[in-house]
Amino acid sequence: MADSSALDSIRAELARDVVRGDARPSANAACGAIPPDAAERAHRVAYPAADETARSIAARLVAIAPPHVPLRVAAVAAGGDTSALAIVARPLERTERCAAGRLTIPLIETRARAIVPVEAP
Amino acid sequence: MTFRTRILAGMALVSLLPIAVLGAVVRGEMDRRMTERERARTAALEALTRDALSRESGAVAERLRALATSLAQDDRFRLATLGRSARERPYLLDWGEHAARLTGLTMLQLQDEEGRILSSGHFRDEFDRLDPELVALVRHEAGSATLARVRTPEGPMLALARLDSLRLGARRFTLLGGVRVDSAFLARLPADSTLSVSLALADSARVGPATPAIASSASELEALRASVDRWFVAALSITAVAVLVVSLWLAARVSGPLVALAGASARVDLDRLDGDFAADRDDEIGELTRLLGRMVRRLRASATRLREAERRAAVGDVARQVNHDLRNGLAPIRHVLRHLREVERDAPERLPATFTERRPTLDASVDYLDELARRYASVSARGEARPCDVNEIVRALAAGTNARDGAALELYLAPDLPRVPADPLAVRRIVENLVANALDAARECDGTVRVRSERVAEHAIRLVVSDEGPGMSEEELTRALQDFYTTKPHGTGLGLSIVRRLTTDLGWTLRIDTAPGAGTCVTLDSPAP
Repeated sequence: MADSSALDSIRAELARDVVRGDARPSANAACGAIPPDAAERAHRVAYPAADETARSIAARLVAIAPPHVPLRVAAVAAGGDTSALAIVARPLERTERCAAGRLTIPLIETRARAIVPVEAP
Repeated sequence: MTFRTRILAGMALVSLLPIAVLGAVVRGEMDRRMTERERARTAALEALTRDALSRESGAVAERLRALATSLAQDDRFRLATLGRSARERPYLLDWGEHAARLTGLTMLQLQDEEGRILSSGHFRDEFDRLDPELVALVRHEAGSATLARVRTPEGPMLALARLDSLRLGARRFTLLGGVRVDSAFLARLPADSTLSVSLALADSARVGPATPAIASSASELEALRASVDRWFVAALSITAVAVLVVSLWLAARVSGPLVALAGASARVDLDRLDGDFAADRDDEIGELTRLLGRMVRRLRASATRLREAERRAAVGDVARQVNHDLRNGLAPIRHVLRHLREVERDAPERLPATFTERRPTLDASVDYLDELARRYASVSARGEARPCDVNEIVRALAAGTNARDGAALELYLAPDLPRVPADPLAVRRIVENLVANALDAARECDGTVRVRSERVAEHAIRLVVSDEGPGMSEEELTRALQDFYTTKPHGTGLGLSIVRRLTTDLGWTLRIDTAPGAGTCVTLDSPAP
């Protein structure tokens, strides 16, 4: 995922085909570094158990992974992630604050919708 | 190997071997029949399972056929695939999931002619991935229930898979669908209480025939085997104990008398032919005992004749010995007399003094000759046999015998004792020696000597002399029966040996029962005419 054009393509595909909602590719830059023991961890992509969007993104990453990388998805409880990859939801204002020792790649952004009363003219 | 060991080994072989063979045969037969029954049940369950798999596979095929028919009439699907409408792409991607949920299939994949996955029900996000191999492999197994290993987000999944296809215009699409093979699926298959069914695919294979594997829990057979083994071991143990007890009883019944007979036979030699071989058994051992008794009696008669011959042969030696001893005894007397004659001739006045001086020599020589005569008298020749009243001899002997210090003599004589043919002098010497020995022994313990006579047959008697003395060990008894062995300070060592010889000469039997601390009992039996 170091290639920015490939990353952009993946972001676009995820926003278009995977996420069943109003989403767009994230324009935020990645930050952080790959943890040194990532290769030793289980080949699984973790997602919060109740987050269907995160599950779809994780499943797509598993589907497009090369055949010699036997990734699989795994639902984890909040805070219980010890996997090589984890799809997590972060508020926009926090994406710039990277966790120490981890590589954080923003994938999609969703626009919040609001139903508000229209005030009478 | 002893007779007892042979009996034990023989009984064990005869009893345990048939039981062991029976146990092995029963176990083998039971094993064979149970295995045959198990094999038949396995075959039946396998046939039922194959039918069930065929029905499940047919149901999958029917659902795929329905989906293919539905897709052929689905305009949105046509737009998404043939028109390549980007707007309908989400519909295409979600179609597999919706269709799988609708038909109850747990595995559904739609591929185009290149093998590209257009939509997947069990793994929605594997779209656009090329996987023509899976379809080709399943097609290769067409016609039978097929197992396929497919990808899911969570990992590989085993499914009972079938294929179908549809054509839209110039394009051909393939539908790959199936149901997951898991515990719920296996639970729907025919069941058996002791057999389990499983479906498995080799680790390296993606597709293969759905061949049921029937496994037996074997618990019923194993429990039956264990039960049979337990009862077999119990029966074998009980039989072994019974065999041991019966064998020991038989051995004691058979080998015990044989051991006693061997012991009595071992004590027999030419100097001791007084062994007791009486038996009241009417079996082979009793017959053998009586046979040995007859043989010993014949030996005793032969020994008597042999001893008589030896005695006659020894008369010459004895005569020479007597001659030699008499000459030795007479020589000093002759010398003294010659000396006295010389003194009388040359100096008669010194004769009294010289006689007084040489008299001790004469006395010593006379004492020597007297002692010599007494010694030879103890080995005198056998007299003539004539009717002999043993009671009278015993009474006369008791009248002339003073009870020794601390010893008493008691007589228990049968009034109807018959006269028996024997040399009275020999009988007297026998009784004299036995009573003297008994009194000497009884004196050591302040005991009593009892002399008992009884009639055992019309012309046969038994005489028993017992004392309450210290008794003798087996070794002491053996040595006492030899000449010149004595434990008494002034004994000649000839008492019991003379008794043994005289009883043998008379043809009587002599039995001596003695043990240290138990006194001594000597039993004499005259032969029945």
